[in-house]
Amino acid sequence: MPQLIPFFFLNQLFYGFLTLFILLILVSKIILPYILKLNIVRSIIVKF
Amino acid sequence: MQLVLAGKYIGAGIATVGLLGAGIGIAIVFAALINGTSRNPGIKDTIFPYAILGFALSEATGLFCMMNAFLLLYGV
Amino acid sequence: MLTYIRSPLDQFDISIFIGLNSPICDLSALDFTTFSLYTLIVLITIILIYNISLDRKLIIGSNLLLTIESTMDTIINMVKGQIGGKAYGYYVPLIYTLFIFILIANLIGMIPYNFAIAASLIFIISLSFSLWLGFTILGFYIHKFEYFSLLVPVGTPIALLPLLVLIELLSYSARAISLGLRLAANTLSGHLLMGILGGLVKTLMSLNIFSFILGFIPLAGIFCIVILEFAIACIQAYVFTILTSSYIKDSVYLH
Repeated sequence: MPQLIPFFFLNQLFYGFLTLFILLILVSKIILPYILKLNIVRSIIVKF
Repeated sequence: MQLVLAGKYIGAGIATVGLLGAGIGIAIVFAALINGTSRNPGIKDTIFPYAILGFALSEATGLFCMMNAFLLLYGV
Repeated sequence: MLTYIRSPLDQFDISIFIGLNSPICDLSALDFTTFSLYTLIVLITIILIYNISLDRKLIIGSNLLLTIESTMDTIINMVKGQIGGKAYGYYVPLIYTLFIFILIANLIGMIPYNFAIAASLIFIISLSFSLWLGFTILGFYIHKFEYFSLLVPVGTPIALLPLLVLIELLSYSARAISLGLRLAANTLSGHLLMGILGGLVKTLMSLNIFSFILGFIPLAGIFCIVILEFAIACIQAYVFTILTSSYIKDSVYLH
């Protein structure tokens, strides 16, 4: 099992959680608000 | 040494037996989906995600057996 | 020609591309390895997809935006159906992040000769363990000591109580491992299966011209298995997120 070599454990955890953290910030600060704003604009256009 | 090798292969073969239960489980899930759809076709969109979820959950238990077999063959 | 049969587990080998060392402390955690290369590739892929699709200031949007909106609607409806109530919106970013990360990582792992991130057991099981720890802490933060009532099913006779609490405690603790092990075992065994079958068919087809023609029949079967693996790559991302949200519901609302 090459996945279970203890030398790489900390390396995997560091890079994996770093990527997830960056992605979480990106999703919650940029992507989701953009689509929320898009939906609000659409609903306003449909209303008038 | 040969005996250990033979034990490894026999163990890997026996570990595959657990796939039997996963097969029965997947069959039950899809049989229930077909039953439900034929009784009430309007409910198909509601129960299809649950059927997929049940398929994935019962398939995963079978794959644990398969992973055990692979571990015995190549990992140990 | 000298050939030797390599173990099918070789596809999960991690090699160091840029090694860092310093005389003061151990920096091996910061090495640039195969795993970090693929996390970088996943991150860049996601950023590129969103950059292309969200860049244009259009209200209708392109086809790519339609895909993204439909995945987002799926996730939001799932979270709304699972968690419900007023507070479901707090958990959407986390669950959407998990979904998109696992989906893109699985699909990149399905490209031939690439490394599957989700097959590295240690990272995925620590991810699921930290999620489990997170919603346990969340439950204790919301409900204080009443959170232990999660371990008692409704309407149990008092005589069965000690046994049932032990069983429920065991099943509650097993969530930490089983959530990640499900994803990792699926990816691992799927990739191993494709590797082994591909090797077998390659040896069969390289024998002579007759076996080369005969080998197209199992090749069609392997093609079906590859399609199944693509489906599993998407379904497992969905299952991981739906189970995460149902566990969050357990700790927010108790039962």
